[in-house]
Amino acid sequence: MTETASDIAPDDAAAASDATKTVALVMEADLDAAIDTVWRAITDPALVARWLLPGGMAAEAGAVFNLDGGAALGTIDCAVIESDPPRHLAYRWQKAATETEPALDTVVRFDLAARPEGGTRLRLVHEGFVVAADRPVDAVAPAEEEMIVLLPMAALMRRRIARRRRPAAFSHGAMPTLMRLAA
Amino acid sequence: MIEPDIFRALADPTRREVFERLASGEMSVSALKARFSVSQPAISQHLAALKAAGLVAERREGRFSYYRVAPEGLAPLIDWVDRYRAFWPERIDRLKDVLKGLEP
Repeated sequence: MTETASDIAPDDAAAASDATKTVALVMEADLDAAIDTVWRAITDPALVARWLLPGGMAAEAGAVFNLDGGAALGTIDCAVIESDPPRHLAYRWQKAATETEPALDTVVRFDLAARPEGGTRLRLVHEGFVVAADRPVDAVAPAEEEMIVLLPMAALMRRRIARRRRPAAFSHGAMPTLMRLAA
Repeated sequence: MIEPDIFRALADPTRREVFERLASGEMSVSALKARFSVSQPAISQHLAALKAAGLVAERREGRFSYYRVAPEGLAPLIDWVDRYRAFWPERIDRLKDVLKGLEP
């Protein structure tokens, strides 16, 4: 680490907490499958390997496993915090710091709800990202069906993303996933 | 380091890839060039942009230039939020494909 004239030491915990905030990625998607099928897809290791990452998976609280994120994401250490089949699954998503990457200490939450019109709504929250306090986040657009938003944790707790029926022109499940950075 | 500058510098996928290459160790411009299909002037331009953003440092030795990742430029750069922001939507699309195969 080079010497600088800065009065905020990079490893000064108090200064760091003033300069950072914790945000989450939030995404909602309508899935064209029954809730039990979706639950299986997010908990069966062989199925998880096909869409998320290869590695282990066990949907019991306290279970620990690894996911292999390859060169881009590295090896992710996971530990199940909550498992309430077929509605809720939460696990720690952590990675030790390396020479070039800060540590990652986050939680991934899946919330599933059967939709009255069929299919399953998935709400995926990946929370615990530490970013610069002045990092801009986007406003939530209530009309959007599927999106990722970056929210301060406090806002996440109180904000409910408004849902609206998608236009008939879009067939079920065909709408692309949208991403948004939100305040 | 102003964060938006870093993001602007890394907005270009090739530039980001150049940076990620350098994260594995110091490299000469020609060694870098050999790993990319773009021209050497283009690589040099990417390197200049990365240098201007404080993300890489240059060391000259004779007529050769070597580049390495600037350690002080690194902290804000490996941005997990950006990585996962790109990661999840793509994975959810894959989940949808997997589900198609599971439903009768």
